[in-house]
Amino acid sequence: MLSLLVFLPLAGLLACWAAPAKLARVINVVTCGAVLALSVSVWMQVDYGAAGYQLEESHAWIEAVGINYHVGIDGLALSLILLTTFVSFVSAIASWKIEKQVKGYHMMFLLLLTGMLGVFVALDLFLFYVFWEIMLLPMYFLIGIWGGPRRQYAAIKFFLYTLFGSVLLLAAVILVVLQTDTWSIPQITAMAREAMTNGDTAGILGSVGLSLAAFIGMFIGFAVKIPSFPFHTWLPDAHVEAPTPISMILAGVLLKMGGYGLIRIAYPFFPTAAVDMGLMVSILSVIAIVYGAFVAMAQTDFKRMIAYSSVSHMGFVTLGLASGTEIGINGAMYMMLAHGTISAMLFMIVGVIYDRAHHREIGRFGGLAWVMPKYFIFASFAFFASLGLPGFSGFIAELTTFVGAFNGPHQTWAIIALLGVVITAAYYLRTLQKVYLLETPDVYKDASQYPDLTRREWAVLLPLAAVTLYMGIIPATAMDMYSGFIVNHLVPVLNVSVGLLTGGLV
Amino acid sequence: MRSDSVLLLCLILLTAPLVGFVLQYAFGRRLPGQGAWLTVGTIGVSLACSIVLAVGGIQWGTMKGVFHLGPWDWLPAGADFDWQVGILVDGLTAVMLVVVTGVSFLVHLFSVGYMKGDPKYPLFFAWLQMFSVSMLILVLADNLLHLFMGWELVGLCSYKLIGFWSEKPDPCNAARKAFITTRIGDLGMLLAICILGGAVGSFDFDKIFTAVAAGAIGDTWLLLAGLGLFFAAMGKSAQLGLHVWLPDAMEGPTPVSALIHAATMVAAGVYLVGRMAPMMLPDVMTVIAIVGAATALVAGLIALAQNDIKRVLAYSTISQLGYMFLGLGVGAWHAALFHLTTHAFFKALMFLGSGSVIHACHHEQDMRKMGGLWNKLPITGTTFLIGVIAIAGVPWITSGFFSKDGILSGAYATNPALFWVGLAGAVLTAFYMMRLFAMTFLGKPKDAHVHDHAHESPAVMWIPLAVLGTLAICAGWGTWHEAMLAPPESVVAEGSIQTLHDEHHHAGFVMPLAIAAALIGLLLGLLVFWKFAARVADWKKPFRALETALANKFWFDELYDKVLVKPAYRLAELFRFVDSRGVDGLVNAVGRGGVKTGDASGAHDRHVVDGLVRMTGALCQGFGGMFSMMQSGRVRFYLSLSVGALALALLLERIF
Repeated sequence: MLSLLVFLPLAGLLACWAAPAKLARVINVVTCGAVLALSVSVWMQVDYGAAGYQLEESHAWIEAVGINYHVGIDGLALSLILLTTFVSFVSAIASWKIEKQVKGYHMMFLLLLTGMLGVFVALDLFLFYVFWEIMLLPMYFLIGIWGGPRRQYAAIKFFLYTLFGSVLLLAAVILVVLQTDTWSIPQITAMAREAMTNGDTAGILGSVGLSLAAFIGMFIGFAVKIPSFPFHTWLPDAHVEAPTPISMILAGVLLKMGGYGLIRIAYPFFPTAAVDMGLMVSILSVIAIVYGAFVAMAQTDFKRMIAYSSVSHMGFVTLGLASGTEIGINGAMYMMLAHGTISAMLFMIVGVIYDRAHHREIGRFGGLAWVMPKYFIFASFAFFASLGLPGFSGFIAELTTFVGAFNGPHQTWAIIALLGVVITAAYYLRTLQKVYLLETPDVYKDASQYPDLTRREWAVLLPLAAVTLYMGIIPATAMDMYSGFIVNHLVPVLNVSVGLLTGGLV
Repeated sequence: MRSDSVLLLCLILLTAPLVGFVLQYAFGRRLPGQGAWLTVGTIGVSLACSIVLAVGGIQWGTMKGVFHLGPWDWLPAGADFDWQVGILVDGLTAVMLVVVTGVSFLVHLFSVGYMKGDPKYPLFFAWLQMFSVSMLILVLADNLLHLFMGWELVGLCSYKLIGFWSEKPDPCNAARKAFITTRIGDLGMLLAICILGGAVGSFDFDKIFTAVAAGAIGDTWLLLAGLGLFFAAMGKSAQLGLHVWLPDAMEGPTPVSALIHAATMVAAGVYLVGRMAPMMLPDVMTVIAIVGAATALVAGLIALAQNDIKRVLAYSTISQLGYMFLGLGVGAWHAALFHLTTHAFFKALMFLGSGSVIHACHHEQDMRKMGGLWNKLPITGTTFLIGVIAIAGVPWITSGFFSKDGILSGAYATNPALFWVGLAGAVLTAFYMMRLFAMTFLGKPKDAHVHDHAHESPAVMWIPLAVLGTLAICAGWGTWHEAMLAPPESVVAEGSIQTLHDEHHHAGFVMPLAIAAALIGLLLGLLVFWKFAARVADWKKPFRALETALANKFWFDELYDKVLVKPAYRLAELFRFVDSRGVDGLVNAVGRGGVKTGDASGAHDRHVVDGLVRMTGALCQGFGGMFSMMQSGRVRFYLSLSVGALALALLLERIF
């Protein structure tokens, strides 16, 4: 079942390759639709109350070194798989207007989908890493070939940054595998847990120092993807140059890989190191939140502003994680899901106007609300959702993260992070006013050049808005889905580590 | 009344305007009469439900028999937390429901006439509906989190409505200022939510109070939580320091001002502090009282020097809200919330009245161009006069007299110094309100053009005025408020909420003084601005410095611009520079062979990292051509190559 889910896009890729170019986009949308449907049927089959992984498949792969093709999911992975298939589907619709090398684009798109889904189902570290790298390549080409004027620069920057992260990740993975003698993520997780319950602070690597080093390596590897301050500077360039649908996937799904890696691998593997580094991570998170918001405020490029708002919002993910509390980590996870749909929406909003105006200078827009009223409704919807208004998913995420972080060990930093709320409101409302309100300059009054939303754009924005609203009003659906692993496994282990560490100091 | 009928009523009164909002937002333009009457109907339904609730409550006489409906599970964020939603109906809620839906209903009705011809007519009613819904969510909440949601939605609606005419820059800026200023206040709320939620494991009011009573929260945290809540209330209720948004909010259509100033938005802050009063430590109460008294006085002074009819009213609202907080702070809980109710009626009355004046004068708002409108606008004039005497607190008949007297007595009992401040404010209130009335309605017309074209408003506009006029008088009669607004008991040691009995137990001269203050203020206003209006300019001469200060509103805006707004933007620019600096630094670095950057200290770490990235990037430029030409077919090749290489590396690693 899971293999079908992961490799179905590859079938679509082959179909794209074989079929005439003009069919490529249809094949892409159909494939993504099928994958979405399949993921929903997976959802129906998963009982996320149950412990452990489900729908597991395991086959020996490279027996000489004990590498297995081992996949399986729990509620945590499921929630992100649903996000991935959903955002990919709407992005596939948004890809309709790509005209350059159509075939190649859609093939890359589908390869990317396989990579992303693979990361979420992999239960073998090697497999995980392979999918992790598979993701990197199509993204590089999607930015480098179909991007804006500075696409090569952005693509190379993206590639090198993530490669740098991957290398650190790989080093940490090798260290872990050498020590534990297995590639299995569930097994290593269990070993780490056992070490904790036995009061062994050295953990799976048998050494506190080594654990710390491996954790830091993994953290940086994942932090580049999130991206966490100070590893974020690839993001604005990548976003600005990437075509709209790719920006949507980049912000909507790809950035979640880092958070998922931390929750699934880095934190459970090295709980003591994670607790040890909690203060550091909190500080970096708060810098990301506040500093990211300030930098967003100073941007003149619409898309760049949204990109920095992502940096700021993803700071909540690491802030919640660093708290080590149930609420904080649940909130961090909620932020990932909420940001997934909201940021996809925001990038679509930018894309819509870029398609028409062929520029993104905030200062050159004005009064678009009066020319494209329906578009304006979606734009303000996304803005208010992103600035954390109740009724939208972002509110739940921010609130839970704050409460969690405040009740964790790093209270002061949580309080400073509150400032981000005000600055976020300031830059969103300023942009809203400059782009959509006030008088319309004559350039934008031509209705033939500035038509309101097309049906295709509706098809992208409406589902995203619906999910954002649903998640804001009925948060239990998503939270019940993923919280099992966090509440039953991760937080208890982190609590034990806290106990061990404080006990050790006395 | 049975609790399931209470639940049903609550759901109906909440859903009706919500449905109205959705219908109006989606199809407003296509509905008959652009949907305006539909929204009047839905809010009318809410009003009817609220009245049934309130009257039912009094009739059954068990205002202690509070209805707590639900709570229902909502947010499963952690095992130790119950994050639920529920509905709480007690006397205070019932009063707030009637005030909110009542004023909102009349504002809807008034707007049918006032907004006629506006291109965004249907949208206006949609947001009025949502404004009411948000406020209803807020007052029906049984917990702080749920209340906060209504609170934030109120902020959104105020943004939309203050900035309703968003083609123009002033309303836009005013709306943004309102949203952001109140959001700064919300930081306090978030802090309180974090503290209380963490310590109690629930946001439920009762559970919070129980936990506080049991000493589950340390005094420092309790102090911070209380101050945080009050800070949030200062934002929403425009108390001194965070009041700057309210006068600017006059840029919104006048019915919106009436709604904001009477029933929604500013009432939210007072309601919040009233609701949470049992957990406020004495120190917090003192802060609340002092800020309230200062606000009452300073805003009253500023109101003296304003010439825009709506701005005078705006500062008068700030000042009256100051009274309410003074009341809450000195423990006169009942009087403060009673004043919230009576003020809602007479302030809505005066705002709608000023709307009627502005409508009649073809959107002239400067009082210096008015005068002598009494004959032209008899109904507006009469009702406005009722509003003036009510806010001044003319004894024994007006509602304002009863509520303000309670606050002053409470202040005298607790903190005599604040009583004198409040009394001075009372003189000022009567004086500047009479100034407004005299400049607008009495004397000779100052602008013949404005005066000649003035005309009384249509029935749909004056009927709300008449209803509010009646309420402004009668709301203070009887003892309904004592039954419904019975103060809660404080749960903190030496907490200072007085019972009704204490409130009345004041020194004998408080009431005469209050009466004298009202009458002297009114009389003086009448003399100065009507009888001797010609000589005002001469009398003002010695006070020129004061007048400048007042006319400039004590330079709050300028100060904030200098110390907050501008530095924030400068900081943003600085951070942007820091962020992009790496790229610049690295161009140079590549130019100089990347040597110097390598030497840079740890402080320049980021430049180095980015520099290296860019340097490698430059190296890769050579390969750029190859990369860009790479066709999709070769990706798989590259991919398998990299995977293969990786596998090989691992194998080797394993073997050796």
